[in-house]
Amino acid sequence: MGSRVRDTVRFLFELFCEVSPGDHLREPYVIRKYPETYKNEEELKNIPKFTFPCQLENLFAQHYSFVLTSEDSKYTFCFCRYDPKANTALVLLSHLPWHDIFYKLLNCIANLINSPERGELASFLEACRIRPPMPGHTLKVTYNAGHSVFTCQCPDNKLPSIPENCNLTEYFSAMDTKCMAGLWAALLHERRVAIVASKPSRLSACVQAANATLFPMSWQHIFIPILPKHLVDYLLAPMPFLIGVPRSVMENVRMSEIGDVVILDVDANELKSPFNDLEGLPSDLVSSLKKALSDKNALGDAVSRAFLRALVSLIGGYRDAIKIENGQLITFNPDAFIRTRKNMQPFLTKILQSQIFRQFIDERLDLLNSGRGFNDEFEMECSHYADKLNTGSGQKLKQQYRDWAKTVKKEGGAFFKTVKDKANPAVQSAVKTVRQGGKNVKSAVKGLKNKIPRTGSRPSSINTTDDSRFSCGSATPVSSDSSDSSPSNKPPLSRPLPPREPPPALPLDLLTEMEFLFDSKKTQRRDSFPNSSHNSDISLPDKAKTLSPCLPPRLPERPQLPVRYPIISTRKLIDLSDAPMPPPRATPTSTLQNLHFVSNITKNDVNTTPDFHTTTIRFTEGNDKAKLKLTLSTNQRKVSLPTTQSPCNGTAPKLTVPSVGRPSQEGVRPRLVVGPNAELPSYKGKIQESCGSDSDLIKLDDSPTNLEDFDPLKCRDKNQKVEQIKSTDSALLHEYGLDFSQFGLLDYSAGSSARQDSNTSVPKGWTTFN
Amino acid sequence: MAREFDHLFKLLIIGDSGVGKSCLLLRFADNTFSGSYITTIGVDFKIRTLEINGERVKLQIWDTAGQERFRTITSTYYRGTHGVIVVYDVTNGESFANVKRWLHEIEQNCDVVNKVLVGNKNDCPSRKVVVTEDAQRFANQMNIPLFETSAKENINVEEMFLTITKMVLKSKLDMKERQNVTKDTVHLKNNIKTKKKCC
Repeated sequence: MGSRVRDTVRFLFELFCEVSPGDHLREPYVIRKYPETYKNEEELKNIPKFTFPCQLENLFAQHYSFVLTSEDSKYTFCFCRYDPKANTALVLLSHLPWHDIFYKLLNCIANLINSPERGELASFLEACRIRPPMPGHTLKVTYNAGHSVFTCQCPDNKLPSIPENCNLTEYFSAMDTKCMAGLWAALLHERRVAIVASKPSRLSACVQAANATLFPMSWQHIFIPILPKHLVDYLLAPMPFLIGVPRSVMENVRMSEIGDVVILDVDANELKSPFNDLEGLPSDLVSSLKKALSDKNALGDAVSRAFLRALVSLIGGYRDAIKIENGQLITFNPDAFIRTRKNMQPFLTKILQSQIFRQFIDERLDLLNSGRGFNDEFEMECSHYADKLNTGSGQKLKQQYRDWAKTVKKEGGAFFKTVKDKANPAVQSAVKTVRQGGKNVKSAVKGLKNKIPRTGSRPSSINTTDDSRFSCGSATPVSSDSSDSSPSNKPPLSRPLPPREPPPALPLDLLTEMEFLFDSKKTQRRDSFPNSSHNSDISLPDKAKTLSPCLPPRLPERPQLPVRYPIISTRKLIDLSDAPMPPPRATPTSTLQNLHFVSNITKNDVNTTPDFHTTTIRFTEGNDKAKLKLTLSTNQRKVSLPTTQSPCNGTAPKLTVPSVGRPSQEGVRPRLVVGPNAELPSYKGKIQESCGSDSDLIKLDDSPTNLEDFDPLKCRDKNQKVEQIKSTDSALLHEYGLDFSQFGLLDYSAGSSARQDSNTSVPKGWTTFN
Repeated sequence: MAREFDHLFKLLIIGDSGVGKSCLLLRFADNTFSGSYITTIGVDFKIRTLEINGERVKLQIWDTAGQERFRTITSTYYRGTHGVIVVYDVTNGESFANVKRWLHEIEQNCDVVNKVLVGNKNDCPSRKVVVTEDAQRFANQMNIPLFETSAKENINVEEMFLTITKMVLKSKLDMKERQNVTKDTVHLKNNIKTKKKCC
């Protein structure tokens, strides 16, 4: 809600294209693009003009980025690399704001284009255009005949730091303390802000970095990091904006027309403002901010933290204004908020009237009311601040929220559902997706109900196919069981695999999470999953026994492979020893085996090196010509106990198809396989789909502020959404080479979505289980 | 250089997506050829020049994307504008609820802003769910004019834009007059002061 980065991201990047600046006769135009089939005409039409927003007069290759905003106000980030020698710009479009990663990828692409291996470009792009790596995962693609490698690690939720974050580094080196603090104050007051620079690289970096200083809030108004000259009239907009204006474009603006605008001239290191925003802030706060920013050798997150601390001392008191009453919606009390800080009432009254703050509060309330909670660097700083003042407010809120959640537990978790319906429209829309997921669950269970008796009446081969499908890292047994316990959803009568242990109830889990609200200590968090370890008790041999007979009859049932299998079909080649190299575009049978093979390797790796897992996949294209090595590795940094791993991190490799082909390996590490009724069932659907593929769909946080490892419930929600998307997009699955028709799922639209969604129903089921 | 207009007014059009804001703008605007950028940069504006009582008024009407994500649109959003056109869809009750909340917010937190309430898509009586009486009662309570329009059939669109323009123009002229009065007063006072000093 607060964040304008998209929730669901399918691909690391959406589009690659090369753009020519044109000449005096011709406007900038796209020379080539990948994928060729990319259809968003609106974007394609606009990219050239944004890529060359003005005359670029640089002798060196430069990186810059611009942002497109869609009708739902979400951002598409466009990363450019202009090479004056080639006189073209390489452009990547992505829904992810990962500047540093994409600039690196652009360099790789440029290298490839300039190398003799330029024929590899398409296959390289194909190898990269997959689901983005999840937190803690690394994507590696080798190219240039193995001489070069592109590595991409999902950025963590730490504060931007110098010199790793190129935007902040550029901003900090270009601006002095006074300008940075002044601009920050202007943004807090939601002014109309124009940042002017002659070089697009510096311009876009400063706009992005300036926006990031608002964390945990984010800019809610017009946001155009680089304004192309044909859109210069948009500087006349009467509402707040943050626009980066190339100097040559600014020269065409009649200043008398644009009115009260705060202008930061980056080249001149000068801030012109008709307002006294910085003076309106408490002077001790401003002086400590300036002091922290004045260290020009500041490294690491010192600069980001200086802004964050300043914000904590301004708005951190919001925690004391959150009103928690048992059985009631959690709300925010503006009057209490204004009283939280002495000597700051005028500013707090003002910031209450800003969109950035209101969205921040609405987002926080939404997270609380939906039982997800949150924790991030901001909350940690708030805790420190409260400790320093000895108000104990952090503890108070935590305790209150715990009590509140207990009440929710007593009410059987139904509260969350009603909360969402009663909540204000903003919250409602925020949870729309979740609710939609709930609806899907219902229909999913219905579908399941219909499906299971049907499969029962099928010939035994198909029946076993279904069984094996369920156990393919799937949660179906659990989900059907849990839907059993849910009053509204009647369960299927027959179940392929009954759960061996009752799944934990949602409220319990919820409480577990509450323990960690505002608590950053991971150790505690681990302790609070007492039931997680025994959930993995289903040993793999057990499962294998059940399953292995089921697999062979399935083979003849499989339909033809889809035409394209860019990644998975080559996954069969996974082997650290490089030994087995079956043909890449294989028959259905071999592909299936390969999938199993992959999962085995993965599991094995998890077993032997629980905190570092690497899978190497040799990407083979066509007739084995271009050899691209694709490496997916999982850094499971935090945890040694696999079941306590953050769901986003650890489960993918674990919950995979039990292999028929390699029973010996399974014997090696039985304990680590999460059985069909183990915890975190909602991930299983995901895993099932990702068999052998670590790179599942990624669902970014609503806000970049939440620590990935904090919040299991939240991740679950995310995965629910992910499931929905996946279930509706079987074509995408095809593209990933995941063809569930192989597993006896012929009807994607109905059957598979039903099945997947039934997995997501598990948490609901838990609610009422006890 | 003679300006081609006497007044430049910037208006905002707000409402959920799908209520037909862009259609209303297209109906009204001169520069329909300029293309729309709402799907590119999340903001769009249209221009129209009118003549009211012999005064040439240039209107810029601004629209931004994704307003429905705001529970409240805060006063910073309206800060630089002369008037607000608040649009709901007569066939969509939820869009009316949002509009009511936003208008209350404007009422509480914003300085005098001229506003009109617009119920768009008023061309299919069978699908209408926000009845005129309810909307009118609310408009009266907020003391703002209500227009039920159809951008599709071009019903009431021109009238609505004319009304808001006249309102804005009137308040500008009123304010000017008041300023003149205060200026005079100040002038007088200053004179007195100077006199005193002189003495």
